[in-house]
Parts: sequence; C-alpha cells; structure tokens
Amino acid sequence: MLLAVTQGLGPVFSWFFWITFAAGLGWLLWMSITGREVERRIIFLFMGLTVSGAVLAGIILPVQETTVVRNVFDTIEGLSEGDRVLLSLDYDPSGAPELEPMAKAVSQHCFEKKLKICYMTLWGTGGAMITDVIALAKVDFPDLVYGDDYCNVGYRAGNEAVLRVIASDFRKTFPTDVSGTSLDSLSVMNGILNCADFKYIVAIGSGRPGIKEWVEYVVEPSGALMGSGAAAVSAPQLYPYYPQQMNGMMGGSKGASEYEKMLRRVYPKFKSSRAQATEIMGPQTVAHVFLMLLIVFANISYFLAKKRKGASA
Amino acid sequence: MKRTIPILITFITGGIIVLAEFIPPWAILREHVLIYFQIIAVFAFFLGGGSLLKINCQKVVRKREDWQFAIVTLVGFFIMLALGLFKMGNPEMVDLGFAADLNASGSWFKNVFDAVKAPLSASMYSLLAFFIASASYRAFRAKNSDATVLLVSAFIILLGQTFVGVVSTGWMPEWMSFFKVENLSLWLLAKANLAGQRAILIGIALGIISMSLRVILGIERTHLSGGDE
Amino acid sequence: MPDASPIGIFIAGLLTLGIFSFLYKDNPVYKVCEAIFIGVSAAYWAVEYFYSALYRKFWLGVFPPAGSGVEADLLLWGGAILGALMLCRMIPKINWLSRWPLAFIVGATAGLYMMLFFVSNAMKQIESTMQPLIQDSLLETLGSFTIAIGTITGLIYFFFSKEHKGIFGGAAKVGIWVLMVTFGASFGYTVMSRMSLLIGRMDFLFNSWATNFGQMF
Repeated sequence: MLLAVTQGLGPVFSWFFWITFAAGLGWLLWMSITGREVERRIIFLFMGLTVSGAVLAGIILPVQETTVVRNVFDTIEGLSEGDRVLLSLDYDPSGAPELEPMAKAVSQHCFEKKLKICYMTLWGTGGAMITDVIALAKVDFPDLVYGDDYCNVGYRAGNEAVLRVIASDFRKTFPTDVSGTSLDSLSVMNGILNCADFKYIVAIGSGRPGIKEWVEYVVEPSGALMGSGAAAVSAPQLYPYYPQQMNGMMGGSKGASEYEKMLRRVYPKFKSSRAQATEIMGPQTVAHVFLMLLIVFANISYFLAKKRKGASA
Repeated sequence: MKRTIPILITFITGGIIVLAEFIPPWAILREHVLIYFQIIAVFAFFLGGGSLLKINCQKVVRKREDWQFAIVTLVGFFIMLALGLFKMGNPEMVDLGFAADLNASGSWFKNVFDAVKAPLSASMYSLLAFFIASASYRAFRAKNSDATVLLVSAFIILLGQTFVGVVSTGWMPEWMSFFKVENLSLWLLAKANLAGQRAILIGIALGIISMSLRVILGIERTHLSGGDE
Repeated sequence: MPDASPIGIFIAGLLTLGIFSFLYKDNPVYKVCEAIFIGVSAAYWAVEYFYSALYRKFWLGVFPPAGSGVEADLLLWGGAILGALMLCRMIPKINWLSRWPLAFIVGATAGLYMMLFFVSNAMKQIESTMQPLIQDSLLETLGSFTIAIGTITGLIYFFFSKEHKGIFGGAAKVGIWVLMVTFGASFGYTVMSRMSLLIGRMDFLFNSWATNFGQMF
C-alpha cells in the first residue's frame, strides 16, 4: 500500500514524507511505552498529515459489493422507463462529502434508465444540495428537460408533519414546485397523489429529520417501497428497519463507493465520470489504520502503566 | 385561562391526530392540524432569529466581551438576508419574479452559500475527526470486559469497512470465510448491532408513547412553564 | 458546489483554514469565522422559511395567482394567526399568549409520536424479532439466535424496576455486552463519517482551492 501511496506525489518527496511520518509514529509509540504525555495538538498534527498525505497521493483501493447496497441498485435497475422515483436529499454541506456521491450516482442511474425523478428535501439547506446534485447529474445528461424528466419541489418546514401529510396527499404540502409552478402542469407528477404512487423512494440523509422519519411517517402508513443512503454516523441505527421497512441502504462513503462501482460495472459509460466516494475510500483506509494504531499505542501505554503500578505495589 | 386553554389545545390537537388513525374520515382534520404545524414552525424560527438579533445587538450596544464579533454576525446576517429576500442576481427573476428558485445556480444567495456557509459548516464538522483521534488516544482503553467488547467491535467495523480488512484476512480458506473481517463486520452490523439497536429503539418507543400520553392528557405540563403565570 | 466561481472557491478556502486554526488554539480568526457562520446560517434559514412556508405555502395558498384555477384556502389563516401569537413571546405583557401555538405544536408532536412510534418502532420491531429461530444454514440460525437473545437481554438491561441479580442479572450482563457491540459499531461508523468529512475538506483544499489559487495568482 505504501507503494500505491507514492504514485501521486513526486517519488522523492513522497518517500521522504512517509519515512518521516513512520519515524513520527515510532516516536509516538516510544512516548506511549515510556508512559509520557503526548500533547493533543501533536495528535492533531499527525491526523492532519495522515489525511493530507493520503489525499495528495490519490490512492484508489478496490471496494467489495454488499447485498444491502445491491438491493437499492437492483430495485432501480428493475424499474421501467417512465417510472417515477422520489429522491429526498435531507442533508447539509457537512454531510455532502458522504452523501452527494450517493445522490449523484442514484440520479445518474435513474436518468440512464429514463426514470423520472422528483427531488425534495426536509432540510432547509437541502435546496442548495438539490441544485448541486442536479448540476452534477446534468454533466452526463445535458438534454434533461425540467418538468418532463425531473422536477424539484424543494423544502417545506415542519419535519415529521411534512412527511405525515405527503404520505397521504403530496399536493397538500407541495402544491407547487420550487419556482411556484403547479405540480399539475409538470408531467413528472402526473398521477402522483401520495408517496405510495412513486415506484421507489430513495431518502438520502444525515440526521433528523431523515431516513428514520421517512420509515416511521411514510413507509409505515403508506406502504411505499423505500431505499436509503445514510451518513455513516447514523447507518448502524438504521439496521433494525432493514429489510422489512426499507429494502436497502447505502451506508457512508463505503456504501456510496459500492453504488458507484455497480453503476460503472453495468453502465461503463460512467467510467469517465468522477467517482467521488471511491476517491474517498483510499484516504479513509489510511485514516482508519492510523486511528487504530493510536488506540493500540494508548492501550500498550495503559497496560504497561498498570504493570508498573502492580510491580511497585 | 392562561393555562387551561393551552392544555385544551394540546388535548384537542393530540387527540385529533391519534383518533384519525382509527377514524378514517378524520384524516382531513389531521392534515389541517399538520399544515398549521408547518406554518407555526416557521414563526417559531422567526422567534429564534429575533432572539439572536436581540442578543447580538445588546452585546454591541453595551460593549460586552467580544462585541466586535457580534458586529460580524449582524453584518453576515443582514447581507445574506438581503441577498435572499430580494433574490439578488437570481437568473430566474427575469421570467418568474419572486417565485424564482431561491437556490438557482448563479444567484448571489447560492454563491454566498457555496463560498461561505458550505465551507464553514463542513469545516466545523470535520474538526471532529481531529477530536475523535485525540479522544481515542486518551480514553479508549480496554479497562474491563465491557470496554474490551466495545473496542473489539469497533476494530472489526473499522477494518471491515476498508480494503485493509479484506487484505488482512484474505488468506483465509473458503470454509473460514465467516471469519474474514469484511464478513464478520457485516454480521456484527446486521445481527449483534441490530439486536442492540432494536432494544434501544423499543425502549425509546415505550418511553415516548407514555410521555406523549402524559402530554396529551395534560399530566405533563413543563412546556407551559415560563412567562407570566 | 459544482459551479462555484473562482472568488467563491478562494473565500471558501480561507474560511476553511480559519476554522482549522482552532486546532492550534482559540483565536480571533476562528471567532470571526464562527461569527460569520452564525449570522449567515440564521439568515439562510430565515429566507428559506420565508419563501418556502410563508410565501409558497401560506401566501400563494390564501391569495392564489389569478387564472391559476386554484381556490383560496382560507383555513390557512388559522395557522398564520396561531403562528403570529408565537411572536408575543417578545412582548412581556402578553407573552402568555405564545403558549397557545406552543401547546398546539406540542400536542401535534405528541399525537404523531404516540401513534407512529407505537406502530413502527414498537410493534414492527417486536414483530421483526419474533421470527423462526431455526433457519436454512447454521450461520443464519446463529444470526436469528443473536437477534432474539440480544434484543431480549438488551431490554432486560433497560428494565430498572427489578434489581439486576441472579438469572436476571446474568441476562442484563449479556445485554450490556450486546449494547457494547452496538456502541462499538456506532463508534466505528462515526469515525468513518468524520474522516469522510475531513477528507472532503482536504480534497477541497489540495485540489479545488490549490488549483484555483494557482490560476488566480
């Protein structure tokens, strides 16, 4: 892996960087063994250097596909041309590195399958996120027509109340799209009365209101079919809903990178499109290893201190 | 009147929503309640915004500690407010007037969002990566059996989500595939983690159901405290 | 931000560095960034609420554009009046009136939570746990046992009305271990999430910002 790391930087600088870094880790281990205090800013510096080095190196590592993500992909793959999909982007810029790649990949997939997407959000900041995702998807599909291929109903305040209403009457909460156009005049929304009329709902979210609320307030009362994309921080909490209440889930950058991989395997035309999540997974691996090393060093220090204490007692 | 009416309002609104689940024609009433909810939620935010302005203005006028930063907050607030309310530079204004999409590409509101709010928000949260690293080094110790289980579980998940996990146990023969880190990590998530999350979820649900019942019946009244009695 | 301007990217980079400066110690640059964040965020939400709810939902609902064929929904006035009462909180003499909309919100939330938590988080989760224990493969069977035993012992741990002693105490101990596995998984995923954010910022600084910086100067 160290060799892979050197690919992106100039080889001399790269080797110098990683040798210095390894020496630093050795010093950290020595400090831990001797039971000396390490200032927190030194840990911060190591963390910053680890991630910076890994990002600059541009490491790309293989990703393994899992069933929980494949279920979302297969459901969309199984839909027919013209079917309507509801894509709810319930996150803000702080969740974008993990969630925007999912939203982009799902949008690309839907547009490639000629499905029609209705974008919405439960987060005030989600409106800007929708604009970004549509702009990213349009790079590969410049001929998309607003109203025929996709629409954006934007944001409404009210969190759970919004969901409970759209579960039974979509137009009651969203009578118009984001530009004040009546939904009745958008062909994407023809025949859509409530959430269950969408063939598939994909909720991509990083907190509350988000996926959990979608399950509780929409899937349960309306029986709609739903998949999700969750920020890693909330993914473990969503497993109780899988697969009974949501048929699949993309969890964090890993889930997003799996979806990107599947999309490129089935539709090679997307190989030229930037795989943002796959790019994250390399540095992510390095950061995880660094963090585990920190925990190991800390525990070595702890057990040695305990031993010393036992010997002196 | 100051307490009885609010208790009645709580009882009626809560009651409508609960009963609408059992009396289908009441669904229309429930929807009205929820639409009102959406509108009131906006005013609640305006109250919060007003409070923020009040506090910052007081800070500047009374020259309290760090009052200079309150000026920055106020300037940022009013600039963003003006850009958004008047939809300045919004390319859709020509055709749609004030119905234009607030976040339309190229609008000044969206540009400031991209240049200021988005990086600040993302950077604030990314600081947590540094603090997690520092906290892990200082506090994550296998002090007893419970902490050891937590540590091992965290390690399996951390390894299982990356390529290192795949490589580290890639040598295992097929009959041992369950013990490959990526499979073990998936199993932990989908079985053991699920069991724990489910126990938490059921516990929370039972707590919320009983609390909601107390609120609707007017037994729980803490939300009515404050202000003139 | 796929269509960000060069000046926008430049400012975004500076603000990112300003926030990161907190890692060294609290300083005026960080405080300025923090103050900007608070002000801009509050205004963003205010404008978003104003247009999405007050303008599009309330105003266009009560006064639909002529020729749109939509009938005015006068019932929306009720919500607006209740909402306006919320602002009475700012006026000491009549601040008790703000309890009415508050009571409305609390009542509606309690009603929503009560029913939906009962259905989707209590009943449905119990139903999902009550599955056949013996499955087709040994692994699946092990999984079913883990879920059933884990959920029950986890719930036993949360049951504080009886002292955790004897068999009950043993079950609670197993419950703690199950919860520890859960917290471990949550920790692992939290690390993953936060690292992704940091990588996202670093990627922005080293790629978008640095490239833009090179082009600008």
